[in-house]
Amino acid sequence: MCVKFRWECIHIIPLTLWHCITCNKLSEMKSFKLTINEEEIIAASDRIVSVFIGAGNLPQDNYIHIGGMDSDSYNLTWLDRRLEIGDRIKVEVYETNRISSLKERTPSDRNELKVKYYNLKKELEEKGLI
Amino acid sequence: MIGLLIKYNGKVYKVGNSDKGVFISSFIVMHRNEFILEGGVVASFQTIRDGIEFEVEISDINETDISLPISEENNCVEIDPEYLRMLSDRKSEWEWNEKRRTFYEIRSILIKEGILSSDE
Repeated sequence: MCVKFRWECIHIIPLTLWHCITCNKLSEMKSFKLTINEEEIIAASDRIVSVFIGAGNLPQDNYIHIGGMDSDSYNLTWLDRRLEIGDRIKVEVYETNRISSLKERTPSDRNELKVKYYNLKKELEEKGLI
Repeated sequence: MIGLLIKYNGKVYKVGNSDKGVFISSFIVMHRNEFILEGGVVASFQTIRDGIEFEVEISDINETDISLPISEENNCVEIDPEYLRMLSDRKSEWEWNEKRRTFYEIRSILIKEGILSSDE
């Protein structure tokens, strides 16, 4: 079973394809297909995809964030945008091998990751699992 | 007040809070096969499958129209039986294996990036 993916750019801009490193094939995976008014964004990851929509008296005002995290512990962002009254967002779970281009891919906090590593190490050692 | 109209499973929920604002969040957690939707008066936990959908509209909502979580009619808390079955089938061993997998994944990232030496 394919377990590891990477972002593989092809010429159908702005879409990218999931490409499996282990078997070198294009792989289908579950995604969020979002339709924001007329605009379509397909977001997928081998770990987590998330959608946050806020409205009202919030620091960010009315907003949408489409993001996630991949198995290299990088934060993914497809969209960060203010929303207006009347904006409609449809979210569907959808199987695809095409995803929209990322706006941003940045490493998560490596100090936090290191703390998590040592906490897991301690827990697993105590249990005799490593 | 500006709030959210959430359309889910054929019903419309009006969510707003004039003091704090409101938000809805949804996740696909691939490695755990979990779909989660949470926001206002709507919560849904399911295994990931094609066809799950919801709609959200930014809307000017009259305070008196807000769906309050005081009756079954006004809120939706849904835990899919298949999701429950999956969780109950995941014994402690599955969770420990998942922790071990995460541990080795993080270890590999930290070593690859030169943050950790291979003997740590």
